Amino acid sequence: MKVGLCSFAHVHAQGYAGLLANLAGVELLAADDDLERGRSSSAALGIRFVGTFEDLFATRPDAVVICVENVRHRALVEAAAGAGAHVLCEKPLATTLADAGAMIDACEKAGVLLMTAFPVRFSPSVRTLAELVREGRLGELLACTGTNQGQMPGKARAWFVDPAQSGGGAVFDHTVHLADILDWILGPAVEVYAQTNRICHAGTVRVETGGLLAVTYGDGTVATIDCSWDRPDTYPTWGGMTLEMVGARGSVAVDAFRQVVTHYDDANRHVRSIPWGTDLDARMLNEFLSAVREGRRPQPDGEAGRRAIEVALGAYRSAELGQPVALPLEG
Amino acid sequence: MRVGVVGPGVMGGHHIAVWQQLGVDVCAYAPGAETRDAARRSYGITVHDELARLIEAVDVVDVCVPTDLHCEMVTAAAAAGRHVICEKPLALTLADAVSMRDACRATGVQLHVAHALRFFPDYAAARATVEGGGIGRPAVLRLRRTAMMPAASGWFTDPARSGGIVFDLMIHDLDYARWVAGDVVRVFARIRAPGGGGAPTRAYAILTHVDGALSHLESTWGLPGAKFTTSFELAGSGGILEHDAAATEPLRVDLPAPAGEGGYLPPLGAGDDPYALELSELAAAISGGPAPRVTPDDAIAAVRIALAVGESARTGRAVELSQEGAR
Repeated sequence: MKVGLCSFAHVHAQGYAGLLANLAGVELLAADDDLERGRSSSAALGIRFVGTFEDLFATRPDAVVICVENVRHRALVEAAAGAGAHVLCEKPLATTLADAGAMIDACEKAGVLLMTAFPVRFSPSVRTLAELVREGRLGELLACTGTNQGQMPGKARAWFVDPAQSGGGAVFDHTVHLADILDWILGPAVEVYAQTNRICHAGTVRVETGGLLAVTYGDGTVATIDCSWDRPDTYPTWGGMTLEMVGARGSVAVDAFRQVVTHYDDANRHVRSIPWGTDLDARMLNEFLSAVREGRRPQPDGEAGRRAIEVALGAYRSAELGQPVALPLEG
Repeated sequence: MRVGVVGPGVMGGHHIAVWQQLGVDVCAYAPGAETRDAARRSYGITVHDELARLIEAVDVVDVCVPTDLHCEMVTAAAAAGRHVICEKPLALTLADAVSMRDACRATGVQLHVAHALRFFPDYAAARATVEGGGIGRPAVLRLRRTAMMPAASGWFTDPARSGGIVFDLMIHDLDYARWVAGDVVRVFARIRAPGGGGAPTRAYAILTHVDGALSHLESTWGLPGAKFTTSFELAGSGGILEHDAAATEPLRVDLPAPAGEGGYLPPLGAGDDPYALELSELAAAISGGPAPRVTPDDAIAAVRIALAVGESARTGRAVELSQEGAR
């Protein structure tokens, strides 16, 4: 199978490339419209760089992984669909609902698959949590507390904090993983309330860095999501994801990235967490490639990606109004 | 200084024990004969059968009755010119809270509200670090509190008496959030309480503070298998303070418990008991020492925020709090 990696703009691209390059039966090609970056990143990884995205599509790849800046997802996914390539697209799927809808339609019309990159869906702990809920072991569901906090990503990639390229700040970046998992387990959200601030990194960025959401679901379950970029520079890790669900019979709590060894390192004068848990990206790529091989819809699909950004967009509207906003959004 | 504890129940009984440890002359009052006898047996103190007798015999009245009775007791003590210590929450309504403060002002007596969390060493140390600039500007606070479900026969589960989970449990963190991150301008809350059958109650509040900080509060009653536990995370522009009380137990015992013993707990000397620190700081203030770390206006502000939490949970809307406050 010929798989194209589109762009090293996203910090995850290198990880995806490393995994794909080692898969039997996968011929990996890289493309980037920043030719300099594309060439050097590909060389460092020992993978083949073919040039621009047009150059890549000319080779008729079976599937592509889209890692361009958020605001450019739509154009590239439409181009991929036009070239007959199945698509795995980084999150957030798009920066507007209109774009997300157009991407879903384009893939549908071209008969290609569209998957949204939510690796935490593939966490074994998250899957166990989902199973326990589905089996009714928690009884009537009451509440969920979710956190997906991180360090401010602007240092790694400046576009992450440029709203014209990213679509927003912490809310857009970190609401969607949890919104997707909750949507998967509870169904679509019916209301969101949010408040944001820009206290962390106020001197360096223009986008919001703090965010607290309360999301309500059809069965009355209330979930709060902390999407803040408030892990300090000295934090031993980039951040993490936790989800606790409480029902009438008890609770289950997941700390998805807890499996680390702590390294106190005098040479580099820092403390670091060395992760050793399941490689979620590997499982996610496996789902994508299996879906392509089997000709079936991958999960999470494009519609799931669209619903996740709807929660984030609703959160922005709520934060502006200072009141909860009904979902789905109208207009 | 002579102290009279009104309502020697669970909290009142602990107050009596602390006063005794501090070497303070203490007596009590309870309307019921059984309660009076139990208190006499447990503490060996005089227990009056009339409030007026107690008030007459003391300089300081320490109010530990159910919340709905706070106003009556505090007002009676103030009218008699006695200083007052009152358990949290101060009251269930803003009008009562303000009138209690004003009643004490009117007769020139001190009123101290026992918001004990400010005296817990982990919480106090964290707040001191914030005050010292250790996390820069507070940005996003997370405060979590889980307790066993209060006994169904007690007054705690009657919201008309206790104010429910918000006034009884969450109010500790509402006060703390304000102490760390400043006054609260907007409150959004949800309370999930299916009720009955041993199901837990969970309350969430999202607070917006006057300087832009945000607080996430989570309070839970009665999670099956859960003991009392608290945690916090204070994130700011310059750092983070993390704390999980369950992870800081200094003693772990993996031994068969000898028959008849409830378990191993390190003995709490007066130096270690936050309630002892609290009551001694309040007593020192009454004796002419410095003002304590919590004021009646702090307690009134906590009531105001708690009321907004309840209103938001009922109406589904966020509640704005004007900054004139209760004057």
